[in-house]
Amino acid sequence: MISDEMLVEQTLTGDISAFEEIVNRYKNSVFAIAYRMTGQYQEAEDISQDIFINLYEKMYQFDGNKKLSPWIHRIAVNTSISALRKKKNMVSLSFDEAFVPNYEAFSGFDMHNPQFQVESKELKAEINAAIMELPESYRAVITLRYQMDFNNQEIAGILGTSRDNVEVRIHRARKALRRVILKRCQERGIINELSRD
Amino acid sequence: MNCQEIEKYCLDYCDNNLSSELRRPFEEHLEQCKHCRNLLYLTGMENEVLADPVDIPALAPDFNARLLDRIQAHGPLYPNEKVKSGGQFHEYLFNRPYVKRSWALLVAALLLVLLIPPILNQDSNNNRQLAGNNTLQTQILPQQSNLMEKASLDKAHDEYLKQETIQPQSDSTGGDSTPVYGDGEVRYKSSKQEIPEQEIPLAVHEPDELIPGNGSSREVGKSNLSSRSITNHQEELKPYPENLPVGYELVQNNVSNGQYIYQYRENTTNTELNIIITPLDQQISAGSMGAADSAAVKTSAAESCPILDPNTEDPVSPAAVLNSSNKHIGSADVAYNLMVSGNLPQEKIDFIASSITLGKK
Repeated sequence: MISDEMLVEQTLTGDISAFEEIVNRYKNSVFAIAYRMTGQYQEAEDISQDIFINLYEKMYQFDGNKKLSPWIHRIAVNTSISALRKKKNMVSLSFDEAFVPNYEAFSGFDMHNPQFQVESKELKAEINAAIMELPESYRAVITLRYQMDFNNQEIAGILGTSRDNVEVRIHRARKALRRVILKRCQERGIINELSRD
Repeated sequence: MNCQEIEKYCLDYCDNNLSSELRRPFEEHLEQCKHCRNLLYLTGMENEVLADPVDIPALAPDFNARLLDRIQAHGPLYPNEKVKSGGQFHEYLFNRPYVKRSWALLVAALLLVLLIPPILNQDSNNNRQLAGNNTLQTQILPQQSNLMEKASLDKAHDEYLKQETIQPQSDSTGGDSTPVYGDGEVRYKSSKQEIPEQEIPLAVHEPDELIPGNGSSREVGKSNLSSRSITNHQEELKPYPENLPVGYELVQNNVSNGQYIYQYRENTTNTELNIIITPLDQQISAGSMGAADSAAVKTSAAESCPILDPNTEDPVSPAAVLNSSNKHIGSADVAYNLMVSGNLPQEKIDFIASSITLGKK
């Protein structure tokens, strides 16, 4: 299979089909970032289009000695954040559909509590909503770490920062997410036992 | 392990990154604490939601087609060309709007730098030509006529040094280059010409500047010249002698019967010089003046210049005899008879007469 870097070279010579191959390889991950960042399908798709347009226009700036993947995802994150900041008045940030994952309790614990089972679906919806309340930077690092399954070193390359800084950002993002989730769950009476108050 | 430590290691436990030394007390605490169990449950739910790709819907099938349409509608982008080979990078760069503006400004600045000096030179050349043709624009810029004339003299000197094709009018001259009006063409004297016998530095005297309150002489000359068949702007020009020896100061000048009379004095030797400039046509028409007759002119000069009278009582007069010398001088438009007389030896009078040139003011 032809490498990403070779596709870039071919694109720079005017080969649109090479660029289309790059799109096919990265459109799902790019769309996933945009969707996680926006929470809306159409918005995410429009941002994905903009991401690839930006990629095409800036392709001559690509350093052929580096990997294409971090560079594309950096453009995706930055373009998504810019789009969100332009549309700050977009209040309704909710995922289009609820999540019904195959939840399995952690072994050794009483995770079959009927209360948890009943509330699990609602809890996941709250978690998704809480993600959308996070600042863009936290949302981006959470998306890259958990949704895109990048390791800390790769995230550091995408965000242009150090690995240690990525760990700090992830930790702060999780704590912020936890605070938002607890607040939302308490407001709606979900898993009240999490609160010590 | 307490609840705070449980909260601290909860993520690592869910990610299976907790060491066995910490895992055992961690699990022991969870068995006893319902709050921490709920916390662990919530953390697991978070991880599950965060890592669940199921909720990401699939892209529309026409995503690629719409994207490529946008790219093609965007027009030919520079990235279509190869950068590293040098390709059309300059075209891409120069076609950027701000680069275009920068280039336009740069070209305009270069044009200004390149075009303004020739224009200024052309103006100065025109001024020089006008001065050489006795067409000073005194009506247009009367206050600048002196500056223009001096500038024209300097440039005439430079031009002469370059060309060296014009012969000197006489064999005795010196000093700065000065236009000489005579024989129908403008010629310039060279500072390289040898001065015979003795070196007499020459100076330019401007009558109207030296004699205050003598501005009426211009009007008189104008009225006299108006009868001649010359152009109006030339009527305002009054001939005056140039390249006189240094030290002679103008003490009087006037216009009488179409003659321009200038009287100079050199105080250290008490030498006096009388210069009469007579237009040739005026001289011919006057008839009675007898311009060709030097004796008659000598008499006339002696009468018009009483200070040069040999019977004067000046005790320090170096020469009691009044000598004179004549020559024709002028330009293509007007020719003049120049008569120089003074209480100097004849050879010095001849030398001074030959070195004198005419200026117009």
